[in-house]
Amino acid sequence: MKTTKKFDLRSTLRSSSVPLLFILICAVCIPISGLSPSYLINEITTRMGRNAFLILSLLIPIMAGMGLNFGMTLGAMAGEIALIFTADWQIIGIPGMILAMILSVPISVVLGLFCGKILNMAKGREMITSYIISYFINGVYQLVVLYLMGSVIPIKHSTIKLPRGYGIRNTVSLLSMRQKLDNLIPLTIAGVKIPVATFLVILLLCLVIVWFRRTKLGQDMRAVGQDMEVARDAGINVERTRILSIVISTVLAGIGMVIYLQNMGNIATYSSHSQIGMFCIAALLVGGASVDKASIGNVFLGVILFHTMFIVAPKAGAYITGDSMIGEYFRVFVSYAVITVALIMYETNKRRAKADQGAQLAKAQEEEA
Amino acid sequence: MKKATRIVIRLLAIAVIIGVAVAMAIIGRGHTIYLDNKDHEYNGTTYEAFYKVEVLDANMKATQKLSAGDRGMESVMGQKYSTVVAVTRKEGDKREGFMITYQIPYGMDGVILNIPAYLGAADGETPAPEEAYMEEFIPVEVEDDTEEVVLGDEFDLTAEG
Repeated sequence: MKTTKKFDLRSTLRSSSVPLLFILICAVCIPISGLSPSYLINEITTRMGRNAFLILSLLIPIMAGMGLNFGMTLGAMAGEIALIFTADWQIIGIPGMILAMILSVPISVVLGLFCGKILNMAKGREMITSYIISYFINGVYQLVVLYLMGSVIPIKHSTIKLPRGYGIRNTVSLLSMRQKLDNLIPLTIAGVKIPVATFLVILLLCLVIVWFRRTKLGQDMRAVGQDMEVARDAGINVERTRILSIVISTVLAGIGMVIYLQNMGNIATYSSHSQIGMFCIAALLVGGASVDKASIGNVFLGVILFHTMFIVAPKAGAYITGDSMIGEYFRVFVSYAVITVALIMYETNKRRAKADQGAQLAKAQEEEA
Repeated sequence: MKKATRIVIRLLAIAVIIGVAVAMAIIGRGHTIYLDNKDHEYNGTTYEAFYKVEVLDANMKATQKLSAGDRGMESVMGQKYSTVVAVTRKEGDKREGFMITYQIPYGMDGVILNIPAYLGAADGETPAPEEAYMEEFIPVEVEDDTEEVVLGDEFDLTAEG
């Protein structure tokens, strides 16, 4: 029997409310900001190359029903540690980037395994647990970077070490690596600089994600994401599958952080990673993703809308209120607000679905009686 | 797939990744070359600075012009350094082109190459050893530099450097 889905405008609007709201904000703010289209496109292209890989790393845990992986910060820390070593060993350019990516993998795997195991103990509360884990591991990271590096872990260069002889400086320069991937294949169209090589790496990851969804492990993750109990009855090792999804996400976040920092050209040792999870998750949600559903399209739409808002908000804020700080506050406030709205919507939809199921069951019982 | 085959494939994959990492560490090793056009003495032989040295790029355009007593700097990736220099020995002399090639020791971040000594060392009947024109660059440590790390969390932790 062929079933046709009825188009429901209200549910479509509800599910696309966040992207629509952001399109509206951008449509209002862009003309007010007075920024030229070429500047805006240039900025968005740069930010797309810088952030897309990191945001893509969030897709796999969502597929496995683990929600938004705030633990991606762990991968970001792994990427930073790898880059500190690479900078100290003076491995520069693309080889330096590749080495940093390879070095980040074992650190990310260990952190991902740890995070995954804990999340398995806190089923149903994955997001808040991963959020707190990121704070916990941040403390460990600070211990390693601030006290162990240079004293226990050898760090040679005084440009990286704190003047006291151990610990890493607030900022580590990656000048010898800066935008090496972005400029590997130089292309400028109508004044817009396109980081072709970075986009190719992102495209490769997109293809890997598409392929991965069709593999046995990918199918298992989807099954676990839909219903853990049914998946377990079907013979899927639910715990292992969930841990793997977090490990893969953490590893991708580590690699993504290397791409992100090569674009920036320096590491803010104690703060680069702290906001990255929040902004990546906000961007994904702005793109129309939810806690239990996200696609590659959401990633790119999210980067465009979220970062357009990020670029134009300070200027628009300065024009409207005469104080550019208002715009700065606005974009930070919006980042948190969008995550809050997404979490409320997720809970509301879950309750509504449960209520609908209950009503259907009651109706069926009535009909039987 | 048999368990043994799977383990072998995984070990091979790890070996390949480690191999790539080692290759990247060798290929991507960065060095700073300091090119000196200064008077230099080695074993009683004095190599006098040239009137002018021009460091040329692949298109034979001068990237650096070094008068007598000057020091130039170049960043290099990998262990092999080669460049072309145009030397004017004395004011009014004709420019002469020379190729400078040098195998940089892996462990050295910075290397000082004295151009007059490099070219002079090759001139004699028995070429002078490497120490005649090369020495390791060791940066001077600045001691009064202080930096405070602000961790910026709600516990207000700070660490003075």
